[in-house]
Amino acid sequence: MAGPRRKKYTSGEGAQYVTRATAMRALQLSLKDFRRLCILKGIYPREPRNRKKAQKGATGIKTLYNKKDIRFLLHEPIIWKFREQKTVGRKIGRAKALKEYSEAKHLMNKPVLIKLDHIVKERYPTFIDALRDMDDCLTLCHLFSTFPSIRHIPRDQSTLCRRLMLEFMQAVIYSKALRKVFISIKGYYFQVEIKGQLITWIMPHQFSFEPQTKEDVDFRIMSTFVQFYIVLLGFVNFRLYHVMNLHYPPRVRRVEETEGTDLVDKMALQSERIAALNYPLVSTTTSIAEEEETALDKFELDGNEASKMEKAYIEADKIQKLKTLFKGMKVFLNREVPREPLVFILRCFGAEISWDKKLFVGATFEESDETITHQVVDRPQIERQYISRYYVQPQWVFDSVNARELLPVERYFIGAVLPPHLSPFVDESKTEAYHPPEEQQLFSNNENENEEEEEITPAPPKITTKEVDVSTKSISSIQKSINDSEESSSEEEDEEGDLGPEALKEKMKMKMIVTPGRMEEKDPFEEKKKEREEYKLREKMVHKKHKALYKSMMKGRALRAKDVKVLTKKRQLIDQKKMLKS
Amino acid sequence: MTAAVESKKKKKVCKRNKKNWRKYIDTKDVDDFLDLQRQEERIGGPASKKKNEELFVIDDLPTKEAAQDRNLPLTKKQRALLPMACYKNLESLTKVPDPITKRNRVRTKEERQATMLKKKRPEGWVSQRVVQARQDRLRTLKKKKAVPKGVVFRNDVWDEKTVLPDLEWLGKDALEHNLSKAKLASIRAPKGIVKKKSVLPALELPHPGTSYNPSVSDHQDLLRLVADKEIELQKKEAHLDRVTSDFFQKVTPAEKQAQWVAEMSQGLVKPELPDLTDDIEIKEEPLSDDEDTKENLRLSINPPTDRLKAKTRKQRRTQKRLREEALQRKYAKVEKKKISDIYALKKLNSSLNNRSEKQKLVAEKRKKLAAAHAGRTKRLAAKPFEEADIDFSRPCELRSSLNLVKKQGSLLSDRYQSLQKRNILAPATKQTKLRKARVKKFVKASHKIEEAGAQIQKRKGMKPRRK
Repeated sequence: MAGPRRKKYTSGEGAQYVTRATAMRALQLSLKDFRRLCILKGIYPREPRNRKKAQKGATGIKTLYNKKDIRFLLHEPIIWKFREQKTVGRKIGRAKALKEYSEAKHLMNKPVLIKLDHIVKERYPTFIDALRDMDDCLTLCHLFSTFPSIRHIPRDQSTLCRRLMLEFMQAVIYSKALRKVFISIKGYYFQVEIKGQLITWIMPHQFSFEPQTKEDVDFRIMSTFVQFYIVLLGFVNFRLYHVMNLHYPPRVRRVEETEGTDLVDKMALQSERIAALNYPLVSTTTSIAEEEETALDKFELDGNEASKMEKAYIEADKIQKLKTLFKGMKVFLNREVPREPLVFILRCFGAEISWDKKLFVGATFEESDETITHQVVDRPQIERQYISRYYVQPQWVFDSVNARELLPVERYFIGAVLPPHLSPFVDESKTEAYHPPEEQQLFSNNENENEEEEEITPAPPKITTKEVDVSTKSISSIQKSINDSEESSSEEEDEEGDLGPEALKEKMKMKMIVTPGRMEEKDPFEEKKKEREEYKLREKMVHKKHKALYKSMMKGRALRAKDVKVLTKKRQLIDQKKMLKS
Repeated sequence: MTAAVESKKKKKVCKRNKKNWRKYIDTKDVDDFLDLQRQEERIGGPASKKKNEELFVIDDLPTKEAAQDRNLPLTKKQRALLPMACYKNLESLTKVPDPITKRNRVRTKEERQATMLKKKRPEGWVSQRVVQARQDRLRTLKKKKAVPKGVVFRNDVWDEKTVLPDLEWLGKDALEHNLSKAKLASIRAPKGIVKKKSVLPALELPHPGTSYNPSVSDHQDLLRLVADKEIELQKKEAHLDRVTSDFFQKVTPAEKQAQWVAEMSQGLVKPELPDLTDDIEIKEEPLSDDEDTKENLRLSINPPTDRLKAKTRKQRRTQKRLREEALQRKYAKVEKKKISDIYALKKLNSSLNNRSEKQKLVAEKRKKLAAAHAGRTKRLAAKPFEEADIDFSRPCELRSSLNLVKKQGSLLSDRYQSLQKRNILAPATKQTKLRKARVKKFVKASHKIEEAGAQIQKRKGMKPRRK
C-alpha cells in the first residue's frame, strides 16, 4: 500500500547539510588542511533554516556545510598536494627519528608549490568580479606587508605582500584612480576607482605592528587568506599593467645608467626604486599615448534619467579636474612626515616630489631647490625657511583631495591650529541635517576665500546648476526632475527676486544682443502652480513597485526638513532672547 | 709398522711385477718428506728461508694505550672499506704459487671497454648510467636557472581559453565523460561560490569621529555611540547577575562546612550513648538488611516464565490467521474509501488549495524574515559571534599633528572580526591545550608482586595510580 517506509533525513533539509566532522572524513583531511582548503576555495559554513532537521535530530549547534559544496571540494586537485605534504611530514619525522638530519633538512627545505590560478578564475569569473572583492585583499596584504616574520606565517609572505602592494599603488598612480583619502586613528583610508568599481582599503600607520595572542586572532587562518589574496592581487596587477601598456613586473626608467653597475643585485636596485614610488614606469609602447578621455555623450533625456545624467556630467568634470589637482607643484617632504601615503597621494594627482636623500632612495631634488612650491612639514617650527615656497602641514594634502580643489594654504601653515579633518565617506542623507550658523559660516568663508584666490591661481571655476541651465536646453528639462525640482525652482526664484525688475531687464538686454525684443511676461505664481501640477502628475507615474520606497523616501525627507525647521526656529528664538538681553 | 712386521714374518714375497713391488716396498720416509714439503709450501715456505724482517717486528710502541689502539674496533667507515667477507671463500687457502706462470685470464667487460675508450676519454670507461645522469643533471640545472626566483605572474587568468580538441563526432555524454576524465573540463562549481555570504561591505566606512583630527560634533557622536554600547552591556551584565548569582542566598565557608558535615553524618550513630540494649538492635538490623538485598537480587523485572503456559501451535496458527484477516479488512476498507473518494473530489480540491495557500503564506513570511535579517550574522558554530568594541580615541588623546597620532585598535583583529561578521569564518576559540583522555591504570592480577601485594589490595578500588 504505502511502499517501504522512508528513512528520516533522506530528503529535504536533513539531506542538504553535513557536519564539519563528516566533511573532513569524506575528504580524508585533517582539520588544519580542511580549513585551508575551505578558505582557498571560498566555501564557508552555512546556517540551516531548521537546525534540528539539518543536524539529523542532533541537538546543540554544529558547524554545517552544504553537501554539494563538499562534493565539489572532492574534485579539487590541491587536495593531492595536501596529502603529499602529509607524507613528506611523515618522512621528516622518520628521518629525525633515525637521526638522519641531512635527509630531514633536505625534505624540510623542499619547496611546496600550490597553484591557485584555477581557483582565482573559479571564484571570480570576470575581472570586474575580482575588482569588486578587492577591499579585503588590499587591506590584508597591506597589513601583512608590515609584519615581521612570525610563527605560522611563511617567511616570504610579507615581502611578497609588500611587492604586490607597491605594484598596485604604482598602477593607481599611473591611472590616477585615487578618489578619496582619510586619516583615521586606525590607518589611512584610500578609495580608488578602477573600471567603475570603488575599492577602499586601509594602509596601517607606520610602526604599527603589535604582537597578538593566539586567542585573539588565529594567525594561521589569516595567513591562509593572505595566501589566496596574494595570487588574486598578482593577477589583478598583471591585468591592470597590461591594460595600461606597462611592463609587468614593473620597470622604472633608469635615471643614470652607471649608478647600478657596481651593485651585485640589480633586481634589488629595481625593487627599491619601485618602492620609492617616485620614478615613472616604463611603457611597452614607444609612442606616448595621449590620455584619451572618454567624453560623456549627451542625450536628450527627460525626468529622472536626465537628472542622473546631469549629475554624472558634473561628477565627471570634477574628477577630470581632480586628476590634475597638484600638477605643476613641486613638493618637498620633511623627514618627520610619513613618506609613503603622501608620495602616493601627491603623485596620483601629478605633483613632483622629493625628500631628504638619506631618508629613502628616489629623492629627485634637494631641499635647497628654489623652484619648490610647497614643503610639507609636521613640526611646530622650522629654522631655515625659504620665502619662495609654502610650508604646509600634511593635512592640507588630504583635505585638498577630499575637497577636489586646492584649499587655501593659510589655515595649514606651520604651527597653525588645523581645521578638523572631515571624513569624505559621509552618508549623503546626513547633509540634509541641521547645520548651525557657525558651521555654515565656516564653510561659506572657505568658499569666499576660494573666490579670492581665483584671481591668483587658475582654480577650477565652480559649476553652478544655473550655468548649465542656460547653456543647454536639454538640461533645462532636467531641472524639472523629481529630485531637484523643488530646490532648483526655489533657487531660481530667489536669484531673480534678488535682482529686482530693472536689473533683470538689464541682464536680459545683455543676453539678447542680436534682436532687441521684449521678453514674454510670465506670471510667476501661475508658473509655479503649473509646475506643481506637473510634479504631481509625474509622481503618479512612479511605478507601483517603487511606490512604497518613494513614499518612505519623501517622508524621511520631509521629517528631516521639519527637524531642520524646528532647530532653526529654536535658534532664532535663542538669538532673539540674547539680543534682548544685551 | 705392521707391514714391516708382516714383511719380516713373510720372508718370501713376490716382487716380480711393478704392482707387486709397490705393494711390498716401504715408502714412508719419502711420503713424510713430501708431506712436510707440501705443508711448508702451503704455509709459505720454511722459516729458515725467510728474512729477519719478515719474521720479526720491532716493538717500538711502548704503552698500554698503543695496545688498546691496536685492538680498537674499526669504525663504520673503515669497515666499509674492507673487502667483503663473502669473497673470502673465493681466495686460495694455500701459499703455493700458481704452477702456470703465464696464465691467460679472461678480462671483465669493463676492463675490455676501458682499453678501447682510453684514447677518447682520459678518465677511461664510464658506464652508460653515469653518462645519462650527468646529462640529466645538466638539463635540470638549465631548467632551474630558467625558473625565476620569486613568485611571478605572467598570464592573464581572465583571458585564457582552454583549447579543446575537435571532438564533434563524440556524443554529448561521451564527450563530457572523456573531458572530465582527461581533466580538460573543469568541474562545475556550485553557484554559491560566487555569491557573497553577507550584504555587509567588506570594509566598513569609517565613522567621521575616528578621524585623527575630528570635528567636535563628530567626535561627540562617536563617543555617544561608544557610551551607549557600554551602558547596554552593563545593563545586560547587571541583569544576568540579578538572575543568576544574586538569585541564591550566600553562605560563608564555615557555614558551608558545617552543612556538609551534617549532611555527611546523616544516619550515623552518634558516639555519645553506648547502651547495651542499643548494641543488640544494631547488630540485628544489618542482618535483616542483608536478607532483603538478597531477595531483591533474585527478583527480575519481568514475570517468571512458565513452560506450561506456552502457547500451542494451534493457538499460534489462529493468532496468525486473525492478524491476517484484520489486515485484509483494513485493505478492503482503504479500497472502499478510494471509490467513495471520487465523490469527495470537491473536498480534496479545496484542501489542496488550502495547502497551496498556506505554502504561499509561509513563503511570504520567510521572504519577509530574510529581508529583516539581511545584514544579520548567522549562527555558524556553537560559539556565538560577539561584536568587537568600537575603536575611538579619548579627547585627551587627540593631537592635531600627524606625527603624534595615537593608533587605536588592531587592524588584524578587526579583519578577523569582520570575516566572522560576514559569515565567512565560524567564530571559535583557539584550542591552546591538547586534550588527552584520562586513562585509568591498574596492575594486572598476574603481574602483582607479592611484597607490594598488601599495598595494592589496600588501594584496590581507590584512586588509580598514575606515573
